[in-house]
Amino acid sequence: MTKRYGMVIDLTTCFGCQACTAACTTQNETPYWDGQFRTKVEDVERGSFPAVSRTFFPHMCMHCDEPACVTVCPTGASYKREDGIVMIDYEKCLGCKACMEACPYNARYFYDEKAVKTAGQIYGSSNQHQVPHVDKCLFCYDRLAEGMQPACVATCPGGARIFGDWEEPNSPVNQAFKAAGNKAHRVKGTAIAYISATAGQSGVLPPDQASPTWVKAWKGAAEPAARAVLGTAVGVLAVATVANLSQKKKEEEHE
Amino acid sequence: MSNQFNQKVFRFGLGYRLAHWNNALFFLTLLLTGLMFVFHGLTALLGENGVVWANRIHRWSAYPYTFLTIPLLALAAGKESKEWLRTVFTWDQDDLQFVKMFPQAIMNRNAKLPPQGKFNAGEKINSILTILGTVVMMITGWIMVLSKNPAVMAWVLPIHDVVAMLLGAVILGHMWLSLVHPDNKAALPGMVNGYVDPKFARHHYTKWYNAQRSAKENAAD
Repeated sequence: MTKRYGMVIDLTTCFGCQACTAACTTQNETPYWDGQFRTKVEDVERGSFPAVSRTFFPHMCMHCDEPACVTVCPTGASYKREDGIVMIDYEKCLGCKACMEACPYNARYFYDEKAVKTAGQIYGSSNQHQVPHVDKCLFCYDRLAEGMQPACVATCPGGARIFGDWEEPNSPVNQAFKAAGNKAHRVKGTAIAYISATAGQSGVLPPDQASPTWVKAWKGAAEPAARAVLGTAVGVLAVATVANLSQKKKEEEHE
Repeated sequence: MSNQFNQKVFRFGLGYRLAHWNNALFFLTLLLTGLMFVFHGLTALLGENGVVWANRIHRWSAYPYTFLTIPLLALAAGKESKEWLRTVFTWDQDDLQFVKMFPQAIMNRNAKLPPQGKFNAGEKINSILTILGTVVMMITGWIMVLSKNPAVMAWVLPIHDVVAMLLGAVILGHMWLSLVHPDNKAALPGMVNGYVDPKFARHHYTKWYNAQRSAKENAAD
């Protein structure tokens, strides 16, 4: 059976220490000096005194079922693996940034030329980022290949991040999700679920996956229509070629 | 009068032809490499790092495509370019009739089409769509190169993509008429060495041919 890697993030135990942010940064050699992170814990305060609440909200790439970033990528640099991980092939990325605009969760940033240079000084000349590219969480696919958990999960002191395979009934994610009962909320169309004290935590939890209108209008309507025009032109010309040539042949035979 | 059909008819000057072929060469390069961003399988044509090369070639070709055709038209073929622009945006009844009959004419080589000027109505449509499409492609393309803003990319990338395919369909028809169509193929030498067969000229561009001839006869008198 194919895997569907995902994560459960427990907001009831996250206390905002940012250990995940730090672990991710060193593991994946990301440009913290530019304020860019693959995952971060947002400190969300709501309401006004005395009715206030504070939530630590870790967020990252949601590894969508039908990722808009993959849909718009002109080169196939952004692609989805069989196991559900949305990947980026740095060599193929041209840096057009369409994916950054397409992502409904703002999970992507650009690892620019200057950051690549700085990375060479900070992480060494053989670090993972040799060329400019769009970057985001890749579920530490390299650690997974070696049988380890993603860096953020392995580090989290509160056990607020649980990683596993949604397709495996007894996987850690399914166990945690079931145990949380109605406090658990899977963000529809993604691989991420949140556990929160008040179910749904309106205003904090990410919305269900939905591709932006421009992506739908472009890839769902305008581009298929343009392709159809091009295809029709090829078809008409093929028929016209046959019609003209056979007509010419007939006329020559008559002469 | 006896040598009316012995003499080739002069149709396009050198500067005008150079502009045409510059545009053709780099447009086709841009189209082919650009299609690789829509049909990823095509990148195999350029080897293992196909998409990287597609991007490089696409960007290099953008320079002569943008900065060579228009100066050639303006500086090396000013008079002809003006005549071309004036003609393609001037439409008469014969042109409208030509467009009406065009669908049946491309299937039936014996269809009777109304007499045409230097550019027939089909060529006028081709010219207009090419001019408009080229302007859109140049503007959106250079915005892509220069802008670092993802929100801008969300506008120009879809436009660039869709207009490219529509322009591709236009150019495909243009190429078919000049390379494949059994009767219209005779137009091609006009864009290669500048001259066309007089019978072809009289049949395809009757009004223009007659005007040329009477001008010549007046000059000879």
